[in-house]
Amino acid sequence: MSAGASAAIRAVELSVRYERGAEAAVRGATFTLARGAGLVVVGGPGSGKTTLLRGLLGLSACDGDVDVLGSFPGDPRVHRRIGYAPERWPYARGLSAADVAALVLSLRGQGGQAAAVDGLLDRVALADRDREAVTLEAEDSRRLSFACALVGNPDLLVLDDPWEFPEVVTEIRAALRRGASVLATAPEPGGLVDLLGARIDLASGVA
Amino acid sequence: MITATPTLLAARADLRSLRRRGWLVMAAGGGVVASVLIAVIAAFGAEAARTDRFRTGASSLLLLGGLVVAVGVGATALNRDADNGFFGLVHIAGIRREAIGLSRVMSRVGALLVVVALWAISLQAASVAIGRGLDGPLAVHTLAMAENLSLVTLVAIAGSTVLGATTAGVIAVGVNLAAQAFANLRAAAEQGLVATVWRNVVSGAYLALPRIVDSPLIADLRNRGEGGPIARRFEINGAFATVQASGIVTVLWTLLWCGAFAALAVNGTRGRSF
Repeated sequence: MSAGASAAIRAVELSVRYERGAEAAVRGATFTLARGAGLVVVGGPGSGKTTLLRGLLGLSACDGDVDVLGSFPGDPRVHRRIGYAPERWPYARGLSAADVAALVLSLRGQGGQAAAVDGLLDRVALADRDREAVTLEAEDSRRLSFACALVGNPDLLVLDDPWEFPEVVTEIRAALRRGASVLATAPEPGGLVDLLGARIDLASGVA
Repeated sequence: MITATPTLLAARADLRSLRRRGWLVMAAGGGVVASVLIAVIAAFGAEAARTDRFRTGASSLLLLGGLVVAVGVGATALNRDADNGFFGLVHIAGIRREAIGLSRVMSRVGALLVVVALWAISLQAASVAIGRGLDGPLAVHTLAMAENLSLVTLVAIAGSTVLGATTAGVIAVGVNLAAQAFANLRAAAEQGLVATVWRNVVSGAYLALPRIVDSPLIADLRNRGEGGPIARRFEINGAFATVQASGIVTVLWTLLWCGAFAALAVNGTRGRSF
């Protein structure tokens, strides 16, 4: 990892609180993710991995000296350059997997037509596209979430506990090859550390 | 700055989602069935009372069924999808926080008005079917209820930025009850039925806070004691107060409050954790 102005993410003493929480769920995290590099945040359940990502993306309030793609966390001007794959089932009820993909494609200016949706979901090998997204099996939910992150070939991929399907590994390698940065979380080191090349450990919210 | 396209995209997606909510479809269909039953019940019995029976039934459907729909679509507008990560997903994909709030205001109020319009059409069709023809006063009452229910929905949406669904819903119903109470108490105060010490309080509350839009139809039914349980004659301190239909000022004042709660909802998404 190298610090400096070319960093995709630079965090110094990053703290992130849960909404209305009195105590910080993540405290004092300091790290740098260089452009074109990868980083895995490793930590057990409740260690603050998801909260860390949400703070970096401006989804939760955060403190500290933080730059994401040269701007402050949550700056909407850089959102188009970020691909975000939340964990679990981050979908509204009543929307199918195809509906979610179409919405994200449309918001990214890629058009939500059936061909574009099929093309996107083919990249992650998601077959069950007409099923309501909140009822997808866990594996397919991760595939859909990851697909949403890929739209527009972003400069920074932020992946919350991506499962290491072959398609995911292929896409991460492709992203790194084209110069994108990848920040992922994982409960255990696994293959992601080998893939992304660097790790930091998070325990009880402290990196 | 809110741009039109992401807001409309998100609103459209939410409407698509609402169309598949079983409870909403059942409520909409249930109202249509209820319209038929209201007409059938009204058609039997003395013809002189037919109009009152039909209108009382229609008013009950619009109030009770309408409150269920208004609270149902409003109280879950902004909390669940913020908590489950969907708003985070679409926010990073390219829609600003305020636009998320505005899209939900549009889609949820829109869904409510579609259901009310469906019931309005079925009630008018039922009125024609039992030989009464189209009911103009009922149409005006439906418009008044559309505004009252929109206020309930918007209060619930605004509440859902910081509260859970149940609490937001209870508060929204509470605002509706209070709005009716202020209108009734103001009428009672003007008729000298309220103690002097409370008249200023009542007048102040009436002037400043949201108040219900009472149509000529419901005011007439209430004042004649023909409104059934949902529009009882207002009795206070042993006397009946006559509550007049609302004027244009109240219509505009309530619309202003609708706008205020819509703005609260939009602004509330800014600081909301996604």
